[in-house]
Amino acid sequence: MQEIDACTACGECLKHCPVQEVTGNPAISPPEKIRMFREFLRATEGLKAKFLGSQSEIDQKLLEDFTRAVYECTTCGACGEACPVGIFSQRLWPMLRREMVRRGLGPMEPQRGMTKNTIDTGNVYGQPPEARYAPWFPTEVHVSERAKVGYYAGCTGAYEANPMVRGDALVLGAIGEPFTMLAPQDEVCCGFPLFITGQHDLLEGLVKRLVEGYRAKGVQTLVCSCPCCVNIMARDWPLLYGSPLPFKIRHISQHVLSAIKGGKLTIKGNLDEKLIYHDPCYLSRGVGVIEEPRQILMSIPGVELVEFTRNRQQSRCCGSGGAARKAFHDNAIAMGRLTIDEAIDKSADRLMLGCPACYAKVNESMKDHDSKVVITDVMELLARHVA
Amino acid sequence: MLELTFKTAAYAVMAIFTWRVAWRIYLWGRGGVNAQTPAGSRAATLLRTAVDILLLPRLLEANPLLWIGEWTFHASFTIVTLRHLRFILNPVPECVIFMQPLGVLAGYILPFSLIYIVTVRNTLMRDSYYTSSNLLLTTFALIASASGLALHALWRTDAALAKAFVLGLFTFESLGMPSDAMFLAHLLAAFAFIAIIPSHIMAAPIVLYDSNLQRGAMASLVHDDTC
Repeated sequence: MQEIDACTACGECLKHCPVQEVTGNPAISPPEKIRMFREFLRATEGLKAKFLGSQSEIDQKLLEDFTRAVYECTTCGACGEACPVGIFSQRLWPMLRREMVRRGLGPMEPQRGMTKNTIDTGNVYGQPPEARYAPWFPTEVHVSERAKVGYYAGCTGAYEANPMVRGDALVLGAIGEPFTMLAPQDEVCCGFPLFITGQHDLLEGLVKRLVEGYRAKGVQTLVCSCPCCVNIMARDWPLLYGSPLPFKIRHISQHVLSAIKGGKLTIKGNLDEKLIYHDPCYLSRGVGVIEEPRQILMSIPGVELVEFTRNRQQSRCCGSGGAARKAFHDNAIAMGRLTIDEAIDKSADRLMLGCPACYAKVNESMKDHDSKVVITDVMELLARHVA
Repeated sequence: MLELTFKTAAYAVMAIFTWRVAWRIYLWGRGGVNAQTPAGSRAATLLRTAVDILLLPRLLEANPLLWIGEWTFHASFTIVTLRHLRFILNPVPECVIFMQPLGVLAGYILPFSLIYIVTVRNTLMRDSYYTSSNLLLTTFALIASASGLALHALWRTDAALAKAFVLGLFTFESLGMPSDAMFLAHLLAAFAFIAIIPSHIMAAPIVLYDSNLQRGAMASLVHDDTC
């Protein structure tokens, strides 16, 4: 609420909103979402509503526009990064969504099955647990029953971005340090898609189940593939669990870079290519993991790294975030294509990604697009260059 | 009759302002905790927040042209407001007397800073955002600052009587008030401005503090010396 009130309506965020860029829809702009929410609160909980004993007439069109605007956002947080008063928008929009769900106005149609899917199968996609690892996990990589390092593949990686998580597993195997994983039926959703769509009912149960599972395996460092998982685990799991976690949370790039610097991972071969790395919103702005993927890429001999015009904490969203990529498919495709086009403009040979949602959607964006670029995940590439 | 009308208006504005503050505090208190973030250094965060409030560095980074106007506006508005303490405090403290010349200078700058802001936002900013609240606020601020400037430079009012009116509000006495049009316009514009004063003056410092705390804590969220 403080953040809603802190907005000065200066409009500085407008030039950073990726959805606004592709839709031109003023209702989706950050200050307009805030203004509409204030109107909404006034109409439902304002002085008039309270003392007249009934809710004021709320314009239905306004309500529909507002709900859509709140869910159309990719929650990339670029607006917050530019905000002169420091509004943490990457958190604000999910909290507005929680309010919409609480009032029966959200989530969007494609997101409504998430809770049931999670209850039935442990993941929001409704995919069978037995297919979580089998299609991609390299059989030559050994998983220990108990270890200090745990690996959480994540639902999106496991079911929609297999090359990415396969790369993770191969690199972890190459490091040689024992690591453990939960059984496929036990590695349930980290809660992020439910959190981001405002459907919070299952969160506490999911978190407790996962934390206890990793604790039982002796995990002291939980390494995650997906920036969104890292984000919710680092920021929200302690609150949902009710106490500090018994293990550290790290993104795979942090763990792998540490292994490279510690001499546990040897890079072999050469790659004479120009790579461009896209900072995932929830990795750069979300938890401040920015240089690690770059240092990994630069450790491969022959690599030349170029940057997007907006990079690091200012990176432009590729369109895949906020659980909006399926609910607002056209937006996500348009934003994905902007990412591809800029990579080509920068003469990159390869577009490097570090997020399974980005990986899935940007690849999909390229399918019927005139311009093509090779898209690879950081670990997927590194796995080809490790002993 | 005139004094009674303006006294009623003054009390109404004070009531609206008090209600808005109380309502905000109630809503904020009901908001709850969003996420657990490791606490950063409070002292360092307070210092960074003070710098954020005093110098608006985030706006400078985002839009240097707009920053010139916004910083000038906020600084001159603050100084002009402090200068008005001479109407509320009796006797007037030395420090308030001392800052009068600076207050006069700020009074001259204030309306022009508003005009500058409006010009920049409506001509140079590709995506400008203006709500009706913005427009009203700017209009009342401009009228109040311009009329205040006019009161100083052109149409001097009876300052002693103006002070008597203000003191009478706090002591519930009828002590008279100036009746010249410029003073009444200034007062009305000020009342209107106070009634719709934006909530960000309360919320922004808190959010800035929280943002600085988050930024400071970000380094330890998923990082440590060994990584």
